Amino acid sequence: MSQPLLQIQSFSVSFGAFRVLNNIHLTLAPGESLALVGESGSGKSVLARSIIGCAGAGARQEGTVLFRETNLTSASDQTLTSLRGGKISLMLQDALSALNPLYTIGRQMMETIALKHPAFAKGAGRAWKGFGRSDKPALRAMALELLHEAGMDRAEECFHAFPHQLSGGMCQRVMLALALAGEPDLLIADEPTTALDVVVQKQILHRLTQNVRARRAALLLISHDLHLVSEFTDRIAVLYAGQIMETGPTRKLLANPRHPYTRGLLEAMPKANTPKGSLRPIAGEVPAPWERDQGCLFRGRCPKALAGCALPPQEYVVENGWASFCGQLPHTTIPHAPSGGGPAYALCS
Amino acid sequence: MKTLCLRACGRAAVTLALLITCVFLGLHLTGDPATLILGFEATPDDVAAFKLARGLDLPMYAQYWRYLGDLMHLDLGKSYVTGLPAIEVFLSAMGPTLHLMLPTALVTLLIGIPLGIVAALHSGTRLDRGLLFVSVLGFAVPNFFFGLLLILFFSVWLGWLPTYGNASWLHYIMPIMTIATSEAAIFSRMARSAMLEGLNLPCVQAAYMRGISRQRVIWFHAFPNALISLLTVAGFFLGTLTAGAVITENIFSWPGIGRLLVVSVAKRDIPVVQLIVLGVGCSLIVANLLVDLLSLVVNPKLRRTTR
Amino acid sequence: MHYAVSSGASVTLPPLMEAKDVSHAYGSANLFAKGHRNFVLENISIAVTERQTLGVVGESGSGKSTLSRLLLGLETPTSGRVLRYGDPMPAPGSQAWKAMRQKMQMVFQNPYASLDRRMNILDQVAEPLCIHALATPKEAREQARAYLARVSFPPHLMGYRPDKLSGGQLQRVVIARALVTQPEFVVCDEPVASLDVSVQAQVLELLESLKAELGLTMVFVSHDLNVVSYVCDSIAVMHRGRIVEYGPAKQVFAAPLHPYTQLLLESAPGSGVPVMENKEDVTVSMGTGCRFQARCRYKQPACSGNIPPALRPFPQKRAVACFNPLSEL
Repeated sequence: MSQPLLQIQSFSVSFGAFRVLNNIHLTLAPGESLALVGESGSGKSVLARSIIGCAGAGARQEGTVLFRETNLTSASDQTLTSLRGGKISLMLQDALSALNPLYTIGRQMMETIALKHPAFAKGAGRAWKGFGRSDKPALRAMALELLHEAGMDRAEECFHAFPHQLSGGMCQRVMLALALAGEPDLLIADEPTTALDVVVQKQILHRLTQNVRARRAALLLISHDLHLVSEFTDRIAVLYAGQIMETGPTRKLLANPRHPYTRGLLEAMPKANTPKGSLRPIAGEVPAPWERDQGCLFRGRCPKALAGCALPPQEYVVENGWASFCGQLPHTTIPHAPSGGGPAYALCS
Repeated sequence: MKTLCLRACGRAAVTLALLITCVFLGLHLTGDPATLILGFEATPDDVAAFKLARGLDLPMYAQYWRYLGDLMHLDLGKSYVTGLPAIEVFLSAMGPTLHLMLPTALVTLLIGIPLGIVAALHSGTRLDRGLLFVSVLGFAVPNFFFGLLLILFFSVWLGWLPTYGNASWLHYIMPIMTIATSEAAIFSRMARSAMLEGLNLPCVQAAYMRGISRQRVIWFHAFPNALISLLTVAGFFLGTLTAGAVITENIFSWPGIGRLLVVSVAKRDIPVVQLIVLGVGCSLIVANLLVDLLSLVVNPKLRRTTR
Repeated sequence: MHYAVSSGASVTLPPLMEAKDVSHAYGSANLFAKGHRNFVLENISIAVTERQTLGVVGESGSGKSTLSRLLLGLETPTSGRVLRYGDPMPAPGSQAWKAMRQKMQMVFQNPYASLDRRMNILDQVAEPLCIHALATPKEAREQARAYLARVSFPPHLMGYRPDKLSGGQLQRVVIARALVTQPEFVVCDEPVASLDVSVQAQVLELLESLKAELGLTMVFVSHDLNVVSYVCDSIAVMHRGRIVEYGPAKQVFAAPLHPYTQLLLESAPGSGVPVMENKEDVTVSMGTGCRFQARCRYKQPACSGNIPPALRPFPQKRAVACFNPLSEL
């Protein structure tokens, strides 16, 4: 296997006394796409922001986040600033409020390109200066190209528009273009299409994944929608209340989830052909940060909970690259038995 | 864009009309001008003659029309004290006041905004709390006290600065310091909250997360957004400067509006007082109009574009 | 011209709610630009039969919420009529209107915004009964308690204020408050859009069981096709202020007729259909041809003509507004 691009090890984040992320392990190889799925309060956005060092004031981080050889949790401000929007870029959910209302789209694009695109950003002096008059034609051409790449129909018109003149979908395409400006090796998309209509949502995600794949970059797609990520990612990590519940290959895992939470989520989501009365809601609510302990945090809502679930959850390897933090679901339902590569599936005692 | 400008002007005009009416009503409903001016010892004949001479015997609406007509011709009666047209008295005092106020406004902004920004950038630190202390001190000390302190220090002890009048640039220093200290103290707090708001805008955070350097994010993204919200405050603020100068002008015997107002009230010079109230009101309206027009220019969200 | 869609009950009773050729415009409040009107609904005809759930789907700005406001009588349409049991709606603010209001309720998307954060849960649920003078405060609280129990709201939280509760719990409160006046007609505007998946199913199941138990008629507005297909009996697909397709939910989802419905279903998360890159809609002014023409793969000359496509009947109580012969769709 190639050298991983991103390695998150024993990573925890706390705000004050509350631990919002607990002991996270994740790896991401170049060219791979990983979905991070969780409900609100699961800490998925905090994780995304921690990677680029923007978890916010008062966040206490433990563990390591390795991007290639750089440990991002202890990197200097300067290193992080040059990585952000460059090798690692983040695409946010609310595009309209993420664009500066005072500047045209073109101006914001040119600024980001001048500072972040490998062909333009040279030397540290740039960090303050932005762009000069002589760069403008080249920057403009690059901005239009990126807008086209993001699937913008009328890029020229959009270039001269202010953010409030664009629709939500168009704004999100601009955000995509901005995120691609630094030719990132890792693109983190935090609920990039949640506020959009289904048609636009799919088009933008399609553009995004295509671009990432074409450049052999890695994608971390954060979402609350299992169905949505199933179409666009290779691997999935299910997050609940700051703990990873299950990670594995997207399709296989969703076809046969090994964690009661993942299973519960799938049974609670209607699909187009779900017959009436067949939804099985998960009882109860997500535990609040002050109700969390070291044990499995899903046990309060879990139909399979045992006394042993109050201990810190252990990792059970289902097969190579597929691990569940619960040993309760019988492994006999696996259609293809795990090959000899990985350790055997272990049952919880 | 054009209609928006016109609308701003229209609003200003309506406010002005309301102001004029209020001044008229205020003067005529609070008491009988005849007794007010002639005093309680006046005989009924004197009062009748006074009323006849000034048209005070006419019904209210007729008086109002006459008052409006006079306003149009800038004829606001003659000062009872000097016998000169009130407008002349007013304008001769307005000049020195403006001479004092414009540099004061400039100094206020130049001190207030940077202090506010520094406080916002270091919010929650010792520096922020220190600046809070300084600004509380700045506006807690009354102008008359601070002005006297300045006179005591610079004029009496050191003998550097003249104490009254407006003959040379040296005369400007202490009045400006007196007013600007308290105004800048308040303004720096407003600048601080505007800048904090600007720094916390999602678009500013997003720019930072795009890897734009902290310095550039502060000055090119947070600051312009902060300025826009400050603009509205600044308009109101500068408009009230004229009104706030009364005490300072009296301390330093500045021959401006504030001093004129005190003198005229003491001498019951009603036409002049009326004109000063109108003038101060107008300066507020004009300041707000300028702010409205300026924010149309700087804030693209307000401009209606035909894209 | 416009085919009035009804679910064709054999009884001659008029439907509970019916919109007949309704158009609605939001006039701008600007004094200087009078006459500049923005049409958000155009010639809508639809009926909601008793004890049925009608789903209204469409992208944002398609007029879904405006239609539900008109059906509730919160606004009077610019043209056309809204009928209740075949009678016109009373004028907003009148006595009859107030009497009607207690029979109609609404559940909004954001439970945090639709509850008063200074009032405790029990009083908020009891409030509509007091407003409509249906009960004394004491009885109102009794009934509120019963309805809160009905939506499985934990009894020990009834004295709390909204900020202490989670989104799922609050949405239960909102539903209890909507039902406490015993309405016959409830409009749910994106009731689960702000909820987490694990809680969303709880609320959907709750709505389903309440509907069966209380004999409610519902309009369910949502952008989530999977949710609509799960909850609704019939579906109206809206696009840019027009109904483009109508029919029983099962059939519409199994075999969509209108190209826009097809696009929506293909785009639904998890459909597994690869994306069609198509253009954004161009703005087509009121009264002119099909508004979907710019994105349509079956576009033909008639689509850009002057007449918008009318809603045509189709077997199995369905209807579609498209110029193409239905065999080709």
